[in-house]
Amino acid sequence: MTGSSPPGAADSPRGFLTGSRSTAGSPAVFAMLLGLPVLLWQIIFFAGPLVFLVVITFWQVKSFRLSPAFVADNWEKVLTSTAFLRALGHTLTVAGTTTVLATAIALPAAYTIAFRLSPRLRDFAVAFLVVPVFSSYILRIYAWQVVLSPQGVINGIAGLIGVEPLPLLGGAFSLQIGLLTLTLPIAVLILTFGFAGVDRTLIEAAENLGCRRGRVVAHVLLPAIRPAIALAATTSFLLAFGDYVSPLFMTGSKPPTLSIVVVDTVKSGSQWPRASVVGVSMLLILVAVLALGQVLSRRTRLRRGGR
Amino acid sequence: MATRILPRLSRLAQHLFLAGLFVFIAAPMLVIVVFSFDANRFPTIPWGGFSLEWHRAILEDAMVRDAFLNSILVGLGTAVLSTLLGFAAAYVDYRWRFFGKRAFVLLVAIPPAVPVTILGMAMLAFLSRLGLFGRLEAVIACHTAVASSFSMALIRLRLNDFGRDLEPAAWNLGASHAAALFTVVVPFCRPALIASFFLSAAVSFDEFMIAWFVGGVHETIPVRILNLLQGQVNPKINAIGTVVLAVSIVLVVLAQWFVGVRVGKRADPT
Amino acid sequence: MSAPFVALEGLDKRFPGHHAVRGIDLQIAAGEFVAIMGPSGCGKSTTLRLIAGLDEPTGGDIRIGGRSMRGIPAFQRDTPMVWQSLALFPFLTVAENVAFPLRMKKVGAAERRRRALEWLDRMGLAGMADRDIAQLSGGQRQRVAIARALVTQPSILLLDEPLSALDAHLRVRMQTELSRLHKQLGITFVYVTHAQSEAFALADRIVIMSDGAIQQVGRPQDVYREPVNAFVAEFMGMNNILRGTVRGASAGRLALETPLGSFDVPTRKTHPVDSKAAFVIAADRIALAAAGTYGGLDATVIGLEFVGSTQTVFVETASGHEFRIQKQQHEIEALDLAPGRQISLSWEPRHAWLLPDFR
Repeated sequence: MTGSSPPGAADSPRGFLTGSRSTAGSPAVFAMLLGLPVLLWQIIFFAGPLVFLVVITFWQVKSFRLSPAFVADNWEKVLTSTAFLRALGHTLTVAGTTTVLATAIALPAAYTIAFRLSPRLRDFAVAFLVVPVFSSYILRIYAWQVVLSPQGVINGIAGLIGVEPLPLLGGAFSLQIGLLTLTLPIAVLILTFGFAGVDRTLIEAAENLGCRRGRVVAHVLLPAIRPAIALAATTSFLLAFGDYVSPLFMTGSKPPTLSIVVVDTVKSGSQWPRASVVGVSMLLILVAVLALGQVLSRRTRLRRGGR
Repeated sequence: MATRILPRLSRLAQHLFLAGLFVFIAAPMLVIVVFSFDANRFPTIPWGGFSLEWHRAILEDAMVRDAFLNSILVGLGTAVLSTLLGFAAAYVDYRWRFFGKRAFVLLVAIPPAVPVTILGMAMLAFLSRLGLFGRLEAVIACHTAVASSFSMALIRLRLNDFGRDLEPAAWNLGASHAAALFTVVVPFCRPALIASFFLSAAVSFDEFMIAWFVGGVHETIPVRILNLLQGQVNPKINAIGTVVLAVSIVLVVLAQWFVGVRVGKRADPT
Repeated sequence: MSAPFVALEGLDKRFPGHHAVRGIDLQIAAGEFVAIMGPSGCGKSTTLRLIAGLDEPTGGDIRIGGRSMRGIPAFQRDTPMVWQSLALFPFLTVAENVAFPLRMKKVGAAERRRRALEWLDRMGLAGMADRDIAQLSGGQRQRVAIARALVTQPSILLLDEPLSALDAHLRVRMQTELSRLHKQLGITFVYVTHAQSEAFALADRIVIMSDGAIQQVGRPQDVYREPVNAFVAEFMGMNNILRGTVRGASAGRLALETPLGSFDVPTRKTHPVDSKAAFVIAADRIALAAAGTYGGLDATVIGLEFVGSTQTVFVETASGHEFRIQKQQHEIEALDLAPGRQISLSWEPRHAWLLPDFR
C-alpha cells in the first residue's frame, strides 16, 4: 500500500506545520529553531541591505553627509544624466555581445561534451569546467592582461618573428575575452546538463524517422533544451552586466560600465544616493532580463505541450 | 567513401573546437603559474629563467601574509556557517510545508544572482549603519549570506535521495526528533555537508567585491591582489596567484569529489 | 478473548481531501497475530502508522496495554515496525543498524554490540555484523530489519507489507521465519498486507478493510467461507456471486430467484419475500459434470489457468454469467476440459453462503 498510498498519507511525514497537533511530527518549534536563524541571517545580511539600498536612493546628501529624506531628486538627476545613459547603453551592448558570444560558443562545445565524449571524459570535462566557476576570476583576468598587453606574451611571440606589436589590450576585443572568461564555463555547464537531460529515445526516434543529424539538432535537440539555452543566456548576461573586473583591467574603465560608475561613485565618498540609484536601476534591468528568460523558456513548454 | 569522410571531419572539428575552448579556459591559470617561476620582473616572452625569488618574496611580505591569514579565517568561518545555514534551509525545505516557503527558499537561493558590486555596496551601506562595518566578522557574515545558496543546493540535492521512511523509522525505533536529526539525517547528508564546506570556503576565498567593500582595512587575499593590480606591475602577483589558484582548485576539486558530479544518466549510452 | 492488548477505539484519520480511516474499532489480544488486509488506499497502512504514532489520529484513541496513546510521541511508544522499504540506515553497518534502538535508549556500546550480535546470530546473520547494508542480499536485509525491530524486546511488532519486495521463493521462507519468531517470542504481531496467501499462512485473525472502514474480522477460514458482504467475497477471490430476489423462506432456508434460475440457500436470519439478496459459492465447492446433467447449470469453458497443483477453470453461462471453479489437476484431466467445451455445474445447497450484509 505504501507504493500507492492515499494522497494524504504519503505527504503526512512532512506536513506537520499544516497539521495542528503532532505526536508524530516534530512540533512547529523544531522547524522554527532550524528555519529562523536562516531567515534572520538572510534578512540582515542580504535582503536588508538591498532594501536599504532602495531607501537610500530617496535620501539626500547635505554638507557631505547622508541624511534621511524622501526626494526623487537622485533618480531624476541620474536618469537624465548623459554619463549614466551612455554607460547604460555601453553596458547593455557589452553584456548583450557577451551573451550572444557565450551562448554561440557554448552550444557546440556542450553538444560535443554531452554527445561525443565517453562518459568518463564527460565527467572530467564537467569537473574541469566547475573549477573556474568557483575560483580565481580576478587572477585569470590579470593573466589575460599579461598575455595581451603591449609587452605581453602574444606580442612577445610576435616580436620574435618580427611582427609589430598589436594593440590587443584596451578595447572591445580584450573586454570580451575577459567577460567570456567569466561566462563561458558556466554557460557550457548549463547547456551540457541541458543536452544530457534530453531523452535519448527522442533523438533516436527522430533519426529512425529519417532525420539527418543536422535536422535532429535543429528540430529536436534545440527546442528540447530551450529552457537551458534561456538559462545559459540569462546567466551570461547577468554576469557580464554586473562585472567590475573585466572592464577595469581589460579596458582601463574607458568607457565606464555601470559597475565602474557605481564603484567610482561610492569610493569618491559623498554620492551614495546616486550610486544607489545606479545600483537599483541595474537590479531592475536584471529582474527584467530574468523575467524575459523565464518567458522564453516557458513559451517553448507551452508550444511543445500543444503539439 | 565520401559520405563517411564528412561526418568524421565534422567530429574532428567538434573535438578541436572543444579543445580550443578548454585551452582558452586553462591558459590564464597556466600563465600565472608559469610566470610565477620566471626570474624576469615583467611577465613576457622570452622567459627569464626559473626562479623561486617571487615565491620567497611573498613569504616576507607582511601585508600578503596578513591577507592570507584573513582569507583563511574568513573562508573557514564562511564554510562552517554557510554549511550550517545551508543544511537548516535544505532540511526545512525538504521536511515541512508552510506558508511562504517559496519566499524562504528564494531568500537563500538568490544572493549569488545579484552582482557583487551592488551587493557589496548595499551591504556596506547597511552594515555601517549597524556598526558592523570594517570587521572580518562582517565579511564572514556577508560571504555566508551568498555561499549558503550553494550549500543549500548541494544538501537539498542529497536529501532528494533520502528515503522517505528513514526518519520515521528512526522515530519508530526510539529516536526523538532532535536525535533522529543528528543520528540519521546528518550522517546521511555527510558527503554533501563536506562538499558544502569546501565549496563555500572556495566561494569565500575567491570573493573580492564584498570583502573589499565590507572589510575596510582588513584585506583578504583577493582584495590584496585587486589592490596590487591597481598599482604598479608587481611580479609577486604571479606567485601569490599560484598559491591562491592551488588553494581554490584543491577546494573545488574536494567539493566535487564528495558530491560526485555526474552528467545525467539518461545521456549515458552504457 | 481476554482483555485486549491493543484496542482501537473509534480511530479516525482525515488527511486534507481524504478520509483515510473512518472511526474503526478493533481489539487485538496479547500474543495474537493479526493481519490487516485490503486493497491499495483502504487505510490499512495508515492504521498501522497511527498505532506506531507516526500519524496523529483526528479522532478516537489507541490503547496499548490499557494505556491511552493520546499525546505519546512515536519515539516513546515502543511499537517497532518493519517497513516495506525496510528503511535500513545506509550509512550504518549491519550491527549498528540492529543496535540503533538500543543506542537511542542509551544502552552502553559494549552491551549494544553484544545484543545486536545475539540477534544477528538468531536471524542467521552471524559474521555479517560489520558489513555495509549495500553488501547484503534482499533476504538478508529483511532479516536485519526484523532484528532491528526486535532487539529491544518489544511486546508488539508492526509489519507493513514486509515481504512485498522479495521474490516468491524468499517470501515463503520469510513467512516461515516470521511464524517461528511469533511462536518463540509470544508477542503481538500486527501485519499489513495485500497478499491473501501471507495473511492465511500467518495470521490468527484477519481484518479486511475497505475505504477506511473495517469490513470483517475473523479467522482466515471463516472470512473465506463466510464473507459478510460482496466486497469481502470478491476480495477473497470468490467471484461466484449470484444476486436475486427472495421468493420464499422456510426454517433456515430461502429460495432465491436469480437470472440463472431459482436456488435453495441456507440462511441464519429471516428475509422478507421480494427483498433482494445474494449468495456466494466458493470456487472449490462447485462440482463439474458432463453437459446436460440433470439439475446442473450449463456453461461453456472459456479458459484454464494453472495455480500449482490446482487449476482454475473459467466458465460462462449462456446468459453471460461467469464462474470461477477450482479443481485438482486429475479432476480436470478426467473431464478432458478445454476452452469451448460444454460443461454442467452444480453445488450442494449447504455450501451456498448467503451474504448477511447485502445492499
